Amino acid sequence: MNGSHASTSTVVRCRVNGQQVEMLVPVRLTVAELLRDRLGLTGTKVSCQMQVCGVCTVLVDGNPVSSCATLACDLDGAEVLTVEGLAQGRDLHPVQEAFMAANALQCGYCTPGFIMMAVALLQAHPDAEAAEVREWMDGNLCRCTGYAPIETAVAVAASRMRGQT
Amino acid sequence: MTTVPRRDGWDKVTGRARYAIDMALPNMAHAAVVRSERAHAHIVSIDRAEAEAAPGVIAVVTADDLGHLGRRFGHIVCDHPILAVDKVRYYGEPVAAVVAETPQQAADAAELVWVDYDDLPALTDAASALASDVLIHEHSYVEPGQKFLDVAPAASADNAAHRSELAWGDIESALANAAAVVETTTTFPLVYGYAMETYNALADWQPGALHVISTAQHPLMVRKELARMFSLPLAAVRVEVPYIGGGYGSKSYTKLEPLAAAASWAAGRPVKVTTDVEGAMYTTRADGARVTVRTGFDAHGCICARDIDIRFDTGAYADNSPLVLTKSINRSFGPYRVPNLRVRGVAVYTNTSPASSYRGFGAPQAALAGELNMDMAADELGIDPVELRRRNLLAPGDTIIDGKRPLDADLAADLDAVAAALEEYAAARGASSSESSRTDAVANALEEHAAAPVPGILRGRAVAVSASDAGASPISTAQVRMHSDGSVTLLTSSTEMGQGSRTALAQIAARELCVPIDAVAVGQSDTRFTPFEWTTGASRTTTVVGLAVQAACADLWGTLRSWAAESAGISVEQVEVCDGLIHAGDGALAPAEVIRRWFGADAGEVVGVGVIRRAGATEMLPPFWEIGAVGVEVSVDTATGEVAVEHLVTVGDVGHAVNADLVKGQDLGAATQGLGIALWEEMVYDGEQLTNPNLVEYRVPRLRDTPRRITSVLAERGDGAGPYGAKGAGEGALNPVPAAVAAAVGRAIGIWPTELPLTPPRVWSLLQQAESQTRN
Amino acid sequence: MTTLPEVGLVRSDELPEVLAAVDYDHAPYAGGTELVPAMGLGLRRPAAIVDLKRVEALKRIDVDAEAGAVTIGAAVTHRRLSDHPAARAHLPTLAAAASRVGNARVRSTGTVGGNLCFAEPRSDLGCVLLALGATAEVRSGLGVRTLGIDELIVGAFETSLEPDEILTTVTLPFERPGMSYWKLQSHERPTLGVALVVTEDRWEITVGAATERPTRIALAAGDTAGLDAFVDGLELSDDMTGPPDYKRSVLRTHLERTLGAAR
Repeated sequence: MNGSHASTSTVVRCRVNGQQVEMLVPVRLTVAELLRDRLGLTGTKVSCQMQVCGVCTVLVDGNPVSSCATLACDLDGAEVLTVEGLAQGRDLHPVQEAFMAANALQCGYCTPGFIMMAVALLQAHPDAEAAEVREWMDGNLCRCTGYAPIETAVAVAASRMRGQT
Repeated sequence: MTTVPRRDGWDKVTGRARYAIDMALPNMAHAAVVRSERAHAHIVSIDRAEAEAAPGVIAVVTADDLGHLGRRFGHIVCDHPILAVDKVRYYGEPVAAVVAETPQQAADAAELVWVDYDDLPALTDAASALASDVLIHEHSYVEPGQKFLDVAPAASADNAAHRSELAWGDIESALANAAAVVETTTTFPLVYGYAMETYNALADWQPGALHVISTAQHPLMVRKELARMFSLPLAAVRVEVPYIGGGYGSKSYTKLEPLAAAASWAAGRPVKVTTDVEGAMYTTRADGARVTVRTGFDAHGCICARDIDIRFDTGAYADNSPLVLTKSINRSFGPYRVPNLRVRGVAVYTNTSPASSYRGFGAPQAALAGELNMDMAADELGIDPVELRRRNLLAPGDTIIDGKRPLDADLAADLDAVAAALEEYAAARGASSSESSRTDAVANALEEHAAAPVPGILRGRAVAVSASDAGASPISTAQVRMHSDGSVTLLTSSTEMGQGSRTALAQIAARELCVPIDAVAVGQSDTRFTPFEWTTGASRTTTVVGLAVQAACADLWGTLRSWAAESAGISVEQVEVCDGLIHAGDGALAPAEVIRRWFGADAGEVVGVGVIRRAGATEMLPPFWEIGAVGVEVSVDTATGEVAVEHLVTVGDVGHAVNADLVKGQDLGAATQGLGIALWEEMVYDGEQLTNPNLVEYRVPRLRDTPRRITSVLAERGDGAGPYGAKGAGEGALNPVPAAVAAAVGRAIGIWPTELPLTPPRVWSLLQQAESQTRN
Repeated sequence: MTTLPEVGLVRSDELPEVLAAVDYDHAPYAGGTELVPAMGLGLRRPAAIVDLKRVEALKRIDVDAEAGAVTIGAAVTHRRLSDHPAARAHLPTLAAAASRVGNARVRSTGTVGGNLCFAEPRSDLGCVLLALGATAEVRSGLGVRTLGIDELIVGAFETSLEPDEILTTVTLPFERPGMSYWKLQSHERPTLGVALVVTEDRWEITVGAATERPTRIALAAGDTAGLDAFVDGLELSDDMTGPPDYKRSVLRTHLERTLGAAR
């Protein structure tokens, strides 16, 4: 097999927020570009492009990934969840509610990424302790809030989600 | 007033909130920027043929292609080319723009533009630039009589972008007669605001009209520059600013908008330009500063004179730095009684990325030297640093600068609140050992370090204060439209960048019009529809725009009264307004009823307009003094030089908190950015190039850096000129933080740090110095 | 915003096909945590990327209880490694180090093989794997080689892999008692990493992140002269995280404290 004739585009079949997507995408297209430019899901943001800031976080099969540094072609067969897919109709996800209640946002640009990271953590570890939350969420940057309200929001959401299950 | 939830919460947690970066227009093309790979060079030639032939390319634009368009912008000094003209002045300067159908095609083709340079000496630091015969700008762009606010730029024969001075009394003789003179020189790093939404602009040029959607904090300032550059009337230029993903002053004035607009003009299509983080770092940073403060004290520890020199590293273009310098001078000597003063400032052009406004606006740079100087003086004079400040602080009503608004704050009370909170926490922890003298602390720590298996930890705490002439120019217009059901649409051009202006202004309108907060809708700023606003900066919105909203509501009540009178057939004087109801003869009417009666239908609306200018409550400048009063306790790991913030205390001296949560959010956010400058943030130039143009190596505060304890105090004394006695917040809690951290680390390790940021290796190096001093 | 350059994709479930595709212009690709940003910055411009993620053999974690060894596929993610029961039981220090690489997003996509093959000096895994005595299996269409970690990573961003070779697995003996890993990390990547295996009569010290590549020494316990010579002789990097003097001082203090306590 000789790779020199490797195709520069490929078909991706995946589900995004529960909806089936099938699309021919360039190999160079990132998940963030697929979501924002092709599917109109602009809730996912882009900033540092180095996997540092976390504003582009989406969940792929439940795992948090940096959508700006992940190729769309890798989504084939995957289940993708973005911030737009969290609410059930009019009912917000407990993490979304907690971010509002705890004033855990200002400019809001980092908010979808923080929310997705928190959802990933609490789905996998509903009993996450404060130290674990701190370690996990340390991988996202916020320039406005000083973080303390975000820690509060995740703690509030965690206790609410534990209460519900 | 009670705290109400943010109006933008739902938008922002659901991903619905739209930022400029999310916007698109039909048939939109994309531009990629070709950036200079030299810090200082003549452009010999630009070969664009290959790029023009690349797939999807619509146009390659250089300065030579701009026809009749104005090629330069700059609201104070018009020195900033859209695309480099003949020469480049910093590494990363835009040289050409490639417009293509997709961002990918534009980026691919941008790599095919070949620029030939003829190198010039690169002056990448302010000292060498000021001493050099090589001029970064060969001629001046200043026009006779030109002025922006207090700043009258002047042509200079050297690389000074601006010089300014403030003086009174007789500095030389006061210093000669002082009982003690304490001198401090500090270096404030080049820092990058890192608003997480990077600069971007979408422009749509049509014959006779220009529409721009961008990240601009000040849409009306941008409109003015674009109108001039494109020879259009103001009304023909529409600047729309949706939610902004962080501003902090870094998005003040004109940035990418002319480039996007010129590209749209050249391509005949809507064009979008979005920088990456590297491009954003090249677009704007804060002024670096070297500041020397010499303070003379009398025998009682009272200041008799301060002599201050400020030198800014302003980068390749002036942008707002001349004004930042002027403000830095006003903010440099502290809110103290200074009978004899001389402050001399120079902003220096260098071959680095251009500097401009950043949260604090010259105050943090100056306070670092000024407040560290107070701590050094306290030690030299044998006076407690809080007490030394108390002896010198100005009282409410005192003059800070002749002709300006007297001090509208109780700084002594603020300082006491800070000191008490620091003491309380330290006492609770039993940290009395950190009270021992510096030399002892180092010796003890070294002993402990040698003997104990756990890392040696040193602790220190410090306070710092500042007062800033904030609020900018009090020019503001607000419009309130009450609909036929009594609900209200509030229109201002204040931009929402996270500070919560849409919430706070809606609260003011709701209170003035006696309607529930949910009955007030607030529109986004859009120069076609929202009324004039000077800027969204200088912590001015709640105070200045808030007054405009109040005035608009009063105007609306006036119209309602006259309508009620007309409908009832009585005179206006017979109509009274009480508790949100209009009493016009036969009973109390809700405003909605007045509107419906006057129009004779379930329709219509009443519009109130409020205007603020330099008159009445805002006749005297500044509109308010923004106070910073903070304290920190730090711990230093002697093995690694790591500094942890154990306790942060902020006092939000805001007169009246329209929304307490928002004020506290501003204070913690501002203080955190101050901690970033103190401990981590620095753009590092090695020769011509920025060595850390990314977030892997430009370190900003992270969640794990959060202070172990945060005390946020609100001081509401109703002493502001704004609504209900309010004054602004947003910068005050940053301004003294770098100084407080430097002083606290100094107290912990026994040697005063004079250069920020206090990264672990730098602190370790100071510890080595302290150790060798102790031994000798 | 940065966009990625045009690139092709080769994808197969079969190792031989993947091996046949890899060459100078066809870069092995798994998590992409290093390759994708490098492509964005223009540091890497492969004609195509060869996706290793569908090759089952590269994603296995196998335990050989008899031999006392664990074999980890090159395309195993940090997260899977740190969560894996066998890794946690037999390689607790490695599992813990993997659980602290980068951030949670990097750990869910980044792989052990990618981390080693990119040979970024400011990294944890190379140091821990060298300390553990890991061996790397390297394959091409022509054959297979087994290398020590110090033979695989030969410099900063430099491995001994030929353009047509890929790293397939890493095999490690179960962790010995007395092992620890400590790192100093002030920036996004570690400043200094130190893996120790300390027994009654032996000090094994492996230093990473501050050196061009992980560097190991074994000393008789108590050989402080040998320890000093090792620390003094290390060539330490000068970068944003600090000058060599600083890193040497931190390293010396850490070793004095930990080995002093073991003495």
